[in-house]
Amino acid sequence: MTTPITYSGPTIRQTVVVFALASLAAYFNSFQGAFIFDDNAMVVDPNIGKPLQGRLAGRPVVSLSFTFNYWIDGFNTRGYHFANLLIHFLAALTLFDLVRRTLLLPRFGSHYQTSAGWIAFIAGILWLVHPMNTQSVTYIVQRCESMMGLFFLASIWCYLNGRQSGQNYWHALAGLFCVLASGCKELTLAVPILTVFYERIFLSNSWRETLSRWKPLSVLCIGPILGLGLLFARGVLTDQGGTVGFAVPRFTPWTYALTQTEVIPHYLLLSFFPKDLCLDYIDWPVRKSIAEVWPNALGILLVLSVTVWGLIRSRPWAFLLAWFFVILGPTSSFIPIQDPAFEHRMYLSLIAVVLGLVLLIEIALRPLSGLVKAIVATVLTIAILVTLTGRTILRNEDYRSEFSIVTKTLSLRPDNARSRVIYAGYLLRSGQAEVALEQVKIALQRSELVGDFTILANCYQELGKSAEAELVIRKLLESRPNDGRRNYALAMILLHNGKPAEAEAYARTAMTSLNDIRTRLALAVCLEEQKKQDEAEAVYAEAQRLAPEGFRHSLSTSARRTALNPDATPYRLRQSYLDALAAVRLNPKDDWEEWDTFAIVLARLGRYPEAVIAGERALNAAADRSDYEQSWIAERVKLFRAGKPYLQVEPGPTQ
Amino acid sequence: MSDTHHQTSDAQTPANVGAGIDFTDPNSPLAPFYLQTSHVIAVAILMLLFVVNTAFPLWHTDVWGHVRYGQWMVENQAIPDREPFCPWWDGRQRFTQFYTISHLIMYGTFAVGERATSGDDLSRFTGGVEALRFLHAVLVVLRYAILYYAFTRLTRSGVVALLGMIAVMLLDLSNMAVFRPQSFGQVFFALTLVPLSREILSRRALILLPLLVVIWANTHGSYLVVHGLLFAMATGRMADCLFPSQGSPVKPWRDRQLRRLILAFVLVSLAVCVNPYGPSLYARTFEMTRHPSLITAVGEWQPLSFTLGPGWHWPFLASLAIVASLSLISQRSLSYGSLFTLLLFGLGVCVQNRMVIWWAMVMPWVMLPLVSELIERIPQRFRLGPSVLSFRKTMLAGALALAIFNWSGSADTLRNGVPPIQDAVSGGTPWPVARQIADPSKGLVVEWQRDLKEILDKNYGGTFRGAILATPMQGDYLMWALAPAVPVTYAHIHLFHPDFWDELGVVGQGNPGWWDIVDKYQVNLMVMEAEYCDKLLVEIRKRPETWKILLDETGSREKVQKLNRQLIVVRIHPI
Repeated sequence: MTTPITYSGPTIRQTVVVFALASLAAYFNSFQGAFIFDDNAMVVDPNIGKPLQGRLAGRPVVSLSFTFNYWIDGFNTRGYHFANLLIHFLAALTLFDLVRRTLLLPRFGSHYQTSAGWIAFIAGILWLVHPMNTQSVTYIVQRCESMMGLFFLASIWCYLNGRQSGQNYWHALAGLFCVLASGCKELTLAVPILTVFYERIFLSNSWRETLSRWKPLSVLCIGPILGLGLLFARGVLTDQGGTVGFAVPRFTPWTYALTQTEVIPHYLLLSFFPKDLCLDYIDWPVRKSIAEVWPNALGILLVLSVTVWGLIRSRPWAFLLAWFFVILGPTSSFIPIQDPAFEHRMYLSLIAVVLGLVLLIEIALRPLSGLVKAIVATVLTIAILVTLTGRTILRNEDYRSEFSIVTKTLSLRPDNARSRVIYAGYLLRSGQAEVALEQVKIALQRSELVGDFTILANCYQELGKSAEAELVIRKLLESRPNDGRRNYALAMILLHNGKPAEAEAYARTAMTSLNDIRTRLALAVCLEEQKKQDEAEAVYAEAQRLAPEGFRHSLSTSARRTALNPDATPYRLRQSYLDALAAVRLNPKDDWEEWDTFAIVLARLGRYPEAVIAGERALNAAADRSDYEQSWIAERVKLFRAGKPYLQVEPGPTQ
Repeated sequence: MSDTHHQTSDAQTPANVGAGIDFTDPNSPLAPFYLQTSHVIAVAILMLLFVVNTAFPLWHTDVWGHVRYGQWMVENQAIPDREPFCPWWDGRQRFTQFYTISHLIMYGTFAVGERATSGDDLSRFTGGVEALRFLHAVLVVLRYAILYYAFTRLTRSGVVALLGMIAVMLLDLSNMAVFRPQSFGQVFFALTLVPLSREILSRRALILLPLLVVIWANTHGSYLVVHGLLFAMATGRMADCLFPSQGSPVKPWRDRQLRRLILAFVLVSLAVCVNPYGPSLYARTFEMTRHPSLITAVGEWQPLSFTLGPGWHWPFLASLAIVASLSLISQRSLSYGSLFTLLLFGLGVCVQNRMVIWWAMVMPWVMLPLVSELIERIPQRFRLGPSVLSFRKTMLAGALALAIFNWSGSADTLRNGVPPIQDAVSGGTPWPVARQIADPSKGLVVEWQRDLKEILDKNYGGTFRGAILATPMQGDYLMWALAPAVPVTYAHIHLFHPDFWDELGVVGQGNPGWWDIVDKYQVNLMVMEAEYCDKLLVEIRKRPETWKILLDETGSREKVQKLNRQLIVVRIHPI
């Protein structure tokens, strides 16, 4: 194969410049995005410094990239967003060059000689700024998708280079990129499959010739085999209670496949009109019979048949269709996944839609004369580019915080129980327990969509309905008796309800899976409340070792703020007691503020004699403080002696 | 193409006038001072800029604390090694004096203005303020003049340089009004662009640039941007060597400019170490940029966001669109050095609003060569003829400068003496309350001060005691006027631990327990922005027996700028 002699279009340098600026324009406000949802579980991980031990260890390449981010700038999101944007930018550049080179291949003769560069440029930049990709770029943890996408494209690009140059190291590099892609997302079988199609349609003259290239093609299978092996080894596909595989409770392979006949057109619709983008489609209705979806199913079957026919006949357009379906295959076929739809799954498939559209427009404009064609193409491109960029910018604003993305999701999908539960969590934290309970009850109508209703117990607890809270958690535990979070929640509820002995058992169970500082503190308090002082000391000592900087202070501050709030519920006050107790126990030395807070909390709970003792301890610890501060603490101790809490004096008449 | 070419042909040289003096004689000893038309326009614009800047009253934020540090250094003949004004600094956040030179210059300027003015304490103070306003205006004009020079050097065209200068103004408009040590950093950055505007960095630049950075590192923490600039240019140059837009690749080590850029980077990095903290200044600067209270609570330290209303994102987006269009239209390709510079500073803006001031200078600097190339492509018949260098134009520029200067606030001060203090400082400057607390015997200037006097006389024994809790913006002036005698919170957020700011946040928002924090710090007076503490105001109104609201300017029609509207509250019985 040889490269064409002449070329017209933007240079690589111009493309780098414009793509880089377009990335900045479309994603400038993504840097404010917080860690949301899975970010908190996967990225904000205590083991982030150890890429092979963290929660993303199954995707080591992405995990390592997060580790680098953490080393450079800790948990400041700016670095994570920058890395995501860089990956997306590089993917777009790779796409540009891949499309450009493909259109310049001898397969197309001189057909695209003058337009290849511009077609690749326009397709690349439109894909770069397309709002549907925000989920892979702005949502930090979805780097898995974009990074896989980059390596995916790089792998095919290297393969093409290898074929054009005849140098074997390009093929080795293609294999390496494919392995890296598998290190980001396990299912990369699409790489060798699509490369075979690419080889047949654009590079070879026959299937026989294609098969004769089995050596470089087989190198591309190493990554997918490793990825699949890893999946099977982890039992992901067969795991009971897992989110992927044949044991997913919501779907059978048949119902999942039927449901996908609606999901795929929805993806396509969003590709053309990316207006109501949504992070969470868990509430997508499950389709159980073909009668419900037959027009969609028929349509998809038809397109699939056309694709197969086109592939057999080696039609270039069939490659785009194959690209779309093969990449979507693992998530939109018959292997059930708990979430039937996610927009980030379209990251690579979207390329087929965008490129297809650009090529169609190019065909439509062909009859026009040179200058008119250029003007129409420019105006059209700018109009689409500005629209898509604007939409991306607006979408990035939704990712500003977990609250904003949840409210946006609920505004689009009010039946989304999972998002409603998260929303209820916010309401509960902001002291609106009644409203939160209402929200949880609405969510309960679709209880099959939410794995964990611990929040229901928290709402009851906040509202002083301890028995109901206990009952809810016990019921939840029946289905998963070893679940760390549920055991911890029950331990806390029992502790709040004055049952430390029973709470201890649950705290110990929780420890086996959670093994974190919070559970240790719960266990230590259980022991202390049972007067098992020595055992409690040992657990506190362990917790002290694990406590991150500022942890003790945050416990104490939160306890003090609650105790000084006249409207604090008994549940919150009890929690503030546990926090204040933990703060003083975690500190080997007496800190006057911590003991003072503990005294204030005890007084709020009506335990005045203990409050006096704690207050005096605070006073002793404040021996080196100013006279004013000492007298300020002493005033409080006097209050406690008199059996009064430390609260603001009731307001008089308004001014 | 350009109007810079010195034309001496008869056809283009104007006839001699007057006593046969040739104002365009290239052999005249005055020839180096000859100007062309675009220079004259530039001088007029610069002078207008001066006038505009002297028209702004001195904004009350981020200036007085710095002047106070300068005063402390002069009085103590030392650089502070700890926070010297506030008892609430507990050492958890280590103290770093980033601003030695700017503090000394700012205080020195204030002191000169104060001493040069006669009259009562207020007049002398206003004299100091006038001097600071003058210094600020000079720094702004100086920056633009240097940029104009750098742009001219870069494009060899006065007209293109003029366009560049106007572009910087448009991008940087809203940042002009605030005077702070950063203003010095901006001048230094403009100076850095001068040697970098040559094709090859000169040997002289390799000496002068590090010297400049020595001063910069002791003036303001923004010295880091020069590292970014040199790094981006050097890595870009390397990419240009390896992947040239034309011709075959060049071995990077054979490229003179790359070698010099790397050397400049190394020398600049070493130059930074000439400061009281040595190389650890880097670590201290990064520590400051990561201060949680700064990056979460202070608007200019936060990432750029989007609203349909006004904001920095609009000029930023517009500038990106212009750069992209120019790089596609222009036949001259943007070098990787320029691209990396643009990207680095563009990303900086995305991550932190405040980076926009550097973007405003970098973006035109990078784009002007492309603009220049585009102008060259305009057919000759549509272009202006070349401008003649002439001493007549120099005289015209001088006359214009003088005439425009005449409109400035500084000229007004020279003619009529210092203006009333209300016109010199912004409406948000809490000088009346500070003056009354500093010296209760001084005359009262506003009505609400009588209430304060009454409370002080009745319950405080005539003199205020306790601490003042202020928002960082309001606290800056109070700190200048009252600290350390009266403990005050102030604008140097990076010096205090985030826990401290969290507590003050609870008070500012009137959240439960606010009174506990106020008691803890023995606060007897609070000075805040009235429009931003609704809940606290409600809480305070509930307790008229404890707190007296002296001034509440919520919704004030006199003060258009919301940040100037004050809330001043005093505790009736001191603790």
